Amino acid sequence: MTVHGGVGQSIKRKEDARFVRGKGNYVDDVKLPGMLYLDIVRSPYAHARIRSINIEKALKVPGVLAVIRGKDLEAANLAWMPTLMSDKQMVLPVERVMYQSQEVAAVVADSRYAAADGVVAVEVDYEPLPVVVDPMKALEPGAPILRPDRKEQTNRIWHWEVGDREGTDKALKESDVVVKENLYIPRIHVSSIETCGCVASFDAMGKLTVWMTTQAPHAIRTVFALVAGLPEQKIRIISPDIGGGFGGKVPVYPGYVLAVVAALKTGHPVKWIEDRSENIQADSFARDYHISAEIGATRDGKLTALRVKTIADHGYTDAAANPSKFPAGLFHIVTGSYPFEKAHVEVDGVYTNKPPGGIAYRCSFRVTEAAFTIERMVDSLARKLGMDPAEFRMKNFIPPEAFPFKSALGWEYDSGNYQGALRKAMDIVDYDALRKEQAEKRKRGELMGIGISSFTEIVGAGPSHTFDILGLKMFDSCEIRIHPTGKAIARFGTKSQGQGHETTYAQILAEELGISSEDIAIEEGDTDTAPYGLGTYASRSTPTAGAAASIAARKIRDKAQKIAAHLLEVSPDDLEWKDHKFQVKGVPDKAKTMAEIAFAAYTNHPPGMEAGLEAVDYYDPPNLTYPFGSYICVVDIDKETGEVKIRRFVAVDDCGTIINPMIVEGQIHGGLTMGLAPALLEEIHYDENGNMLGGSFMDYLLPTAVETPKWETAKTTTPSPHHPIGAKGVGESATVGAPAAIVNAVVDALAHLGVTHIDIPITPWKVWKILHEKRAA
Amino acid sequence: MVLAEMPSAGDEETGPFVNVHVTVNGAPRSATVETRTLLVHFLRENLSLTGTHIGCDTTNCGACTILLDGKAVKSCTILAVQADGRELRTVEGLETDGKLHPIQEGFIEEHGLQCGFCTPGMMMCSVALLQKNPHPTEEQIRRAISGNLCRCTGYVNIVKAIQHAANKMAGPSGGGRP
Amino acid sequence: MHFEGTFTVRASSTRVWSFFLSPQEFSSAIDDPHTIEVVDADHFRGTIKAGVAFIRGTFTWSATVKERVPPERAQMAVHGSGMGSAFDIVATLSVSESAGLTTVKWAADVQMSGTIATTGARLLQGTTEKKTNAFFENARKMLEVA
Repeated sequence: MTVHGGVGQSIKRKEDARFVRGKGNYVDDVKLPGMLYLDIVRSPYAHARIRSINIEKALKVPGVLAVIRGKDLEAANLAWMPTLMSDKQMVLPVERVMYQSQEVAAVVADSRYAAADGVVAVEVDYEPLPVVVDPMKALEPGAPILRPDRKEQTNRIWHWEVGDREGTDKALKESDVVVKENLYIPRIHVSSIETCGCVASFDAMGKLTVWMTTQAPHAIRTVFALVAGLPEQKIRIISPDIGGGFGGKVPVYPGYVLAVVAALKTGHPVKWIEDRSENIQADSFARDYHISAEIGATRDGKLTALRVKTIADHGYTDAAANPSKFPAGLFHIVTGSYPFEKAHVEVDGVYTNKPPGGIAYRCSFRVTEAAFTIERMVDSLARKLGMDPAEFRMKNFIPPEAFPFKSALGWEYDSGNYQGALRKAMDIVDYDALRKEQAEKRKRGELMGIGISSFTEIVGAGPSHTFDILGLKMFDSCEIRIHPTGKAIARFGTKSQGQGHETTYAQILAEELGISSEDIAIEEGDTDTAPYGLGTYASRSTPTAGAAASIAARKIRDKAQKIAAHLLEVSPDDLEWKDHKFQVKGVPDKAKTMAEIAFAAYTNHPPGMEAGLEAVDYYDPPNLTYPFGSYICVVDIDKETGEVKIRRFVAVDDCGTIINPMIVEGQIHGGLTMGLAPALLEEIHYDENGNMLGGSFMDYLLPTAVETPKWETAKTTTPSPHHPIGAKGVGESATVGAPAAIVNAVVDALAHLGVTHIDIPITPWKVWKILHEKRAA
Repeated sequence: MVLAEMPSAGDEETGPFVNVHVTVNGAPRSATVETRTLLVHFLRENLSLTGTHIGCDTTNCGACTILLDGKAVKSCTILAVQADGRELRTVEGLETDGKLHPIQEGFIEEHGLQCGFCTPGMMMCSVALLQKNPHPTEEQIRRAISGNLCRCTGYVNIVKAIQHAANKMAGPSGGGRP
Repeated sequence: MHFEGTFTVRASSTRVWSFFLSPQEFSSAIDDPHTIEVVDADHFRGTIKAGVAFIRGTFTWSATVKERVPPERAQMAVHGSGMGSAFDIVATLSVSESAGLTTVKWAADVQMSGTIATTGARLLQGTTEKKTNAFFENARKMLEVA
C-alpha cells in the first residue's frame, strides 16, 4: 500500500489554497484595534555626529503621537543591542550615525501617512565626519577608527584562518603551474518581494505578541528576553506567512525593537513596515568579499594546492548571522569538489561606514562566495594548462569511493558523485557538439561561450559540538500528535518563507506513519506552540527538522507497535512495519493501520501504558550535508552592445533523497535566477562619501521574466548516509552554483582575446569596454 | 520620549478628505479617505482586501497589480480618488461561486508560486493578458509579466501556469467569465 | 560631481561681480521656487523647492561667502538639507574684463547625500548639471540685458 503524499511524490502544495485566493496572512495584513504606525527618520550621511534632534515640529503634525530618540532608549539601556555575532549594533544612535539610511529617530502616529509626515518634520543637525568606504583603506594606518568602543583600536574586526599555511606555501612554490586571480564579489541585497516589518502588541496582562517577518522566531524570542529584560514566557513571536526570506529576515533590525518600545510606551499595538528603499538601503546585505586566490597544479593537470586570502567588508558592525565559531561562515568549503592535499584560507573582517550584515542572500553562510572562488579558479587553471575545463574537472574530482571524504580544511563530506553529475550535464547539453559549434563560430568572429560549475556545498547547520548562534545550539525539532480519528498535527522549530514545508513535512510524516499527507496538519512559526528550533535559512530545514520529523515519527511507531500488538493479541516482536502498517510477520492479513492504532491509543490502549500517541524529537545532526551539482551555461555575446544572452542553462543537482520533485525543481529555478542576478545585474555601490548609489528598484535590477532563461533541470541521487531519509537540502544549491557557470561562460567566450576574469556583475558596459579595448589593441 | 496629545476629531489641520465610491469584484464599496491616499492602501486598509500586496516604492515590482475597468494597473501609483466611480477587480474576485479561476488553478497545478507574495499581482496581470491575447506565445507571456517581479520561482513555472490557464480558457469548458 | 563653464557677456566686470554677490540678484537666476533672507553681507539663507525624480520637496539652505576679491574672484559655500537628503556646493567665480566684454569662468563642486543621492546612478548627474547650467545661463541673459 503506497501512502498518499509520501516521499517522492509531486503532490500539489497545501499552502497554495490560501495564497491564490489572496488569503495569505502576511505581517502587513495584520490589523489590530487601535493600531498605530511607526516610521523611521534616517540619516542622509554615512558618518556624522548628531548635534541635535529637534522633534517640536514633528510632534505638532496631525496624527503624530510620539517621537523616540536615542536618548530615550539609552535610559532603558536599549540604545545598543547585541548582534547575532556578539558584536553590538545601535537601535538608535545617541552620538554618531555610522551608515547612510541608519535609523535616527522613530515617529509613531495614528496612520501610515501621518507617520511619514512626522518623519519629514523631524529636524536633525548633523556634523559630517570622514567616511570609510574602502575596506582596504580602512586597514591602513591613520584611517579613522570607526568603533572606538572596541578594546582594540582598529577597523579589523577579526582575523580567521584555517588550513596548513606553510604546507600550502611550499606546495604552491613547488607546483608546475600556479594561477592567481583577484575576485571581487560585490555587495548585493536579496530584496524578497515582501519587505521587513512587524506588529507589536502588549495585552492587558503585559504579554508581548509580535507578528514579525522572521525566519527564526524562537531565537528572536530568546534574544528579546535577554536584551529587553522581558520574561520569556511573556513573549510570543508569531512568524505568519512570510513573503520570501532568503536570509534577509534573520537579523534583528532596529525597527522591530522600536515597534516594541512604541507599543510599550503608547499602550497601543504598533505596526512597522519598511518600504523598499529602506529595505535595500538599511537591511542586511550579502557578499562584499575581496578575494585573492591562488591555485596550483602539476604539468599534467593534477591539482596541488589552494590559497585564499579575503577581506570581508562587514559594514559598521558584525551582524552576519554566522555560527559563532565561524565569522567567515562555512567559507572553507572553498576546496569544493576537489581533493586538495594542501589548502589555506584566511579572512579578515573589516568595519566600514555601511549597513551591517553579510550573508543575507541564499548563500548558506558564505558558501556562494566559496563555490564561486573555486569554480572560477579551476576554470582559469584549466585554461592556463590548455585543458578542456570539463576534462580537467573530471580528472580531479573527489572519486565516489573516497566518501566520507575529509577535506584539507576540516570538513567531512558525507557523499558525492561529482563525475556522474557532470557527465549527465554534458550529455544533456551535448557538450562536444557545443565545442565544435564554438570553434566554428570563433572562426567567423562570433562570440559564444560554454561555462561549467561543478559545485559542492555545505548545509544543514549543525552538530552541537561545533555549531551555535549566540550560544543556542543548532538542533531543530518536530512535535507530532495523532488524534483519535487518525489525523495528525505536527509542529516544527523551522519557518518556511515559501519552501513548502506544510506540504513536504507532511510527506515525510506520511511516509513514516502511513497517514495520508492530506490528514497531517503542519504548523510553524508561533513560539507559544512550536517546539524550539533555530529557524529556516542556510538550507537547514530538511537536514535538521526533516530528520527530527522522521525520528519523532519512529518514536510514535515504537509505541504504536505495542498498541498494535495489544490489539492483535501478539507480541510486539511478532510485528513488522510493512506497506505502511503493522503486519504479523508472515500473516499480512493480520494488520493494523496507524488510524486504527490511533483510535485505540485513546480508547483501548494496553494497561499500564499512557494514553495518547505523540512524540517530540530535538535532532542534533551528526554532520552537515553536502549537496552538489554540475551546471553548464551556454552564452552568446552581442558584439555591438556587449549584452550577454544565456542561450541554454542545464542544471544537474543532487540533493540526496527528494521529498517532492515538483517543489525541488521550483527551488532550483528560483535559486538559479538568484544566481543569474548577481552574475549579470545586481550590485550595491557606494561612492566615496558613503552614498549608496541605486538604492531602489529603479537602479537595483532584479531579473524579470524577460532576462530569465528557460532553466533546464535534471538530477542524480546520492543519499546522505547519516540523514534518516537520506535527504540533504537544496534551497540554496542553485544560487551557490550558478554564478560561476555564467561567468565561466562569458570568460570562455572572450578567452581568445586574453580575458581571464571579469568581476560580476557582468554588465553589457563591461563587456563592450573589453571588446573595444581588445579591438583597438 | 515625548508624547504628543491626540488630535481631536475634526481638526481642520488634517488634510482634505473625500468620499470614494468604487465597484470592487462586482460589489459597491466606499470609504472616506485623504485625497492623497493611494489606491493600494484604500483597498488594503479601508476595504480590508489584503490580497493585493505592496513590494516596492518605485512602481517596479507589480505586486500591487489589479484590474481597473478591465485594464491591468499598478495600484500603488494611482490615487484612490482616481478610481472613483470605476470598476476594480482584485485577486479576491477571481474565484466565483467557490470555483477557482483557471489562472488560480494553473498556478496551483504548475507550482507557479512559492511564498505567494507576488502571486496576486502576477495573476491579475495574467488575466489581463489572456483577455487581450487568448493564445500568447511564451515570449509574449514573458514580456507581459515583465513588470511583475518574483524572487522565488524563477518564472519558469509561472509561464507554465499562464499557459495552463490559456489552454483551459480556450477549451470547450473554458467559457464563462474571463 | 564637478561642473564648470565659461561665458562672455557685454557688461563690466564690476557689474558682473556685484550681480553674483548680491543675494536678491543672483537668486533671481534660480529657476526653482525659493525664498532668500540676508543674515549679513557674507551669510544668506532660505528655502528652495527642488528635487530629482520622486524626491521632491522643500530644502532649507544656507550660504557663506568664503572669499571675495572684487571684482575678480569669489567663492561661496552652500549647504542644504531636507527630505532625508543633503547637498553641499562650493561655487567659484573668476571674472575678467577686456574691451567691454567680461568673461566669467565658473566651477561648482556638488556633493549630495541621502535619499537623493541614492537615485544617483541614473538621474543625479544629469539633473544637477542641467540646473547648474541653467543658473549660469539665466545669469548671463540677465547681465546681457542690464
